[in-house]
Amino acid sequence: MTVAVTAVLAVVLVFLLIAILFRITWRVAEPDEALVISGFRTSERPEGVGESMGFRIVTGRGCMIMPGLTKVRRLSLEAHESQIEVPCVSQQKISLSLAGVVVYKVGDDYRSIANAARRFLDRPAAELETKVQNVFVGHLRAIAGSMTVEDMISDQDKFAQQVRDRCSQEMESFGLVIDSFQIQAITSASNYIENLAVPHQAEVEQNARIARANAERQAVAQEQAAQAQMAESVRDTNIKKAGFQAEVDKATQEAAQQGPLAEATAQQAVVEEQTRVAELQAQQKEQQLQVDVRKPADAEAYRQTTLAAAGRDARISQAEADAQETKLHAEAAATQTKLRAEAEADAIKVQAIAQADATRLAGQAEADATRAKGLAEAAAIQARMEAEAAGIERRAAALSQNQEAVIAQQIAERLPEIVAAAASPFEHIGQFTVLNGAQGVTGALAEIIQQAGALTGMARESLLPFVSGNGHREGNGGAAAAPAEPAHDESAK
Amino acid sequence: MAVEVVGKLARVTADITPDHLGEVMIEVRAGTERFMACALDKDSTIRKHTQVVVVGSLGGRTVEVAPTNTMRMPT
Repeated sequence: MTVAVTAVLAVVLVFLLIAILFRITWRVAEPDEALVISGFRTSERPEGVGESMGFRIVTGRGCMIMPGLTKVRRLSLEAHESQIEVPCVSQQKISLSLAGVVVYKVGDDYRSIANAARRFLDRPAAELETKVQNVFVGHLRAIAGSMTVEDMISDQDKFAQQVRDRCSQEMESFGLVIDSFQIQAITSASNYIENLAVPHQAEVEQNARIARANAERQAVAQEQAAQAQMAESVRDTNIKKAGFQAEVDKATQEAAQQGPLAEATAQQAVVEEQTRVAELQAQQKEQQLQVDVRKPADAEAYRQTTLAAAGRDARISQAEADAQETKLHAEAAATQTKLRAEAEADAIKVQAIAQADATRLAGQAEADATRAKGLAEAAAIQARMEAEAAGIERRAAALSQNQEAVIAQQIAERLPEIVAAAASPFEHIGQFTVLNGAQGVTGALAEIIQQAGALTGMARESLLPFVSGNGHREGNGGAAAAPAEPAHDESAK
Repeated sequence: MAVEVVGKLARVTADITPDHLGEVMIEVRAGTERFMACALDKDSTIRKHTQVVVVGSLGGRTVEVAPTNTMRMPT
C-alpha cells in the first residue's frame, strides 16, 4: 500500500514537474507580436532566411526556450499612428500649414523584424512615434515643396508616389512599412484655398441665375402667349355675339316697327281724309261768312261813311259861322277896352296933377310956419339971454358989494349935499351900538354934529379963507340940526 | 525576404514608370504585403490594377515584376 501510494505520488510529482518545466520553457508569440530570442542555440537559421543574425525570431507560434540560457523579448507588430503638422511652402511659394497622419507598422518579414528589433526593441512606443514623426516632418515639407496646392488636394496618386520615392528607403532601414499616409488638412493664411473656389462658385452662381432668368422669361412668355390667346378667343366670341345680337335686334326692331308703321299709314290716310273734310268745312264757313258778315259790314260801312261825310260838312259850316261870330265879338271888345283905358288914363293924369299941386302948397305952408316959429324962438332966446346977462351983471354987482352973503346963499343951496357927504361914513352902518348908555348916545351925536360943523367950516373957509364971523357959525348950527334927525333915528334903532 | 515572393502573382497598386518605383500587393503567409516594384523591361510602364508576376528580387522590399495576362491567382 505504501509503495503504491508512493509510486502514485511520485508519478504525480513527475507530471507536475514536467508541467512546470514546460510552463517555464514554452513561449507563445501572439499574432501581433514577434518573439526575439537570443542566447543559446539561437544561431539556427530561421525559415527562409539565408544567414543568421545572432538571434531567433519567432512569429505566430510557440517555441521552446531554455530559461537562464536564452533571453526572450517581444516586439509588437501592431500599427502605430503619428500626427504630423508642419508649416511649409508649396511649389507656387504659397505658405501653407499641412496636417497629416501616417499609419505604419513593423514589417511582417524577418528582415524588417530584424531591423526593427535592432533599433526599437524594448523601447517605448512613444519614442518610436517621435522618431517617425521627426522623419516625416522633413519629408512632408519636401513633398509639399514639389507639389502645387491643387495637386495636394486632388492628386492622391502623385502624393503617394512622392512618399514612396522619398520615404521607402528610410522606412526599410527602420523595418517599418507605411500602411497609410494622408494629408488631413491644408490651411492657408492667405485665403488661397478659399479663393480657388471663388471663380467656380461665381460661375455656378452665374449659371444658376442665367438658368433662372431664362426659365422665368420662358414662363412669362408662355403665360403672356396664353393670355393673348385667351383674349383673342374672348374677342372673337364677343364679336360673334355682337353680330348675332345685332341681327336679332334688327329683326326685333323691324318686327316691332311693322305694327306702328301700319298704324301710322292708316292714321295718315285718316288724317288726309279729315284734312280734306276740314278744308271743305272752311270753304263752307268762308262762304257763310261772306254772306253773314261781309255784306252787312260793307253796307254798314257805306252807311257810316255817308253819315260821317254829312256830319263833317255840317260841322265845317258851323265852325265857320262860329269863327265869324267870335271875330266880331273880339273886335267889339277890343274897341270897348281901348276906350275905357283912355278914359282911365285921363282921370289918373288929372288926379296926379291935382295931388302935386296940393303937396306943393302944403310944403310951402309948412316952410313958412317953421320959419316963423324959428324966428319967434330966436327972438325969445335972445330976449332971455339978454335978461340972464342983465341978471348976472346985477348979481356980480351985488357980490362985489356983499360977497359973504352970496357964499352963504350958495352954501345954503348946497347944504343937503354937504350933510349927506358927512353922513356917508354912517351909510354902511347896519347897527349902531352905544356901550355907555344915554351919555354915549349924546356924545356920539355931538361928535357927528361937530364933524358936520367942521365940514361946513372947512367949506366956508375954502370959499372964503379970510372971512370970520359968528353969524355963519349959528346959521350952520341951525342948518345942521335938521339933517341930524335921521342920524338920530338910525342910532336909536 | 523578397526572395520568398518570387514566382507569386501580384497586383499593381501604384503605376510603375521608368523613373519611379511602383507598388505591388503580394500575398504573404495568408496576408497581403506591399512591396516596391520595378518593371522587368525598364522602359515600360505598368498601370495600376494590372496583374503582374514577380520574376525577381532586387533586395530589401523591392521586386521585379512582369505583366501577365494569362496567369490567374489560385483561388
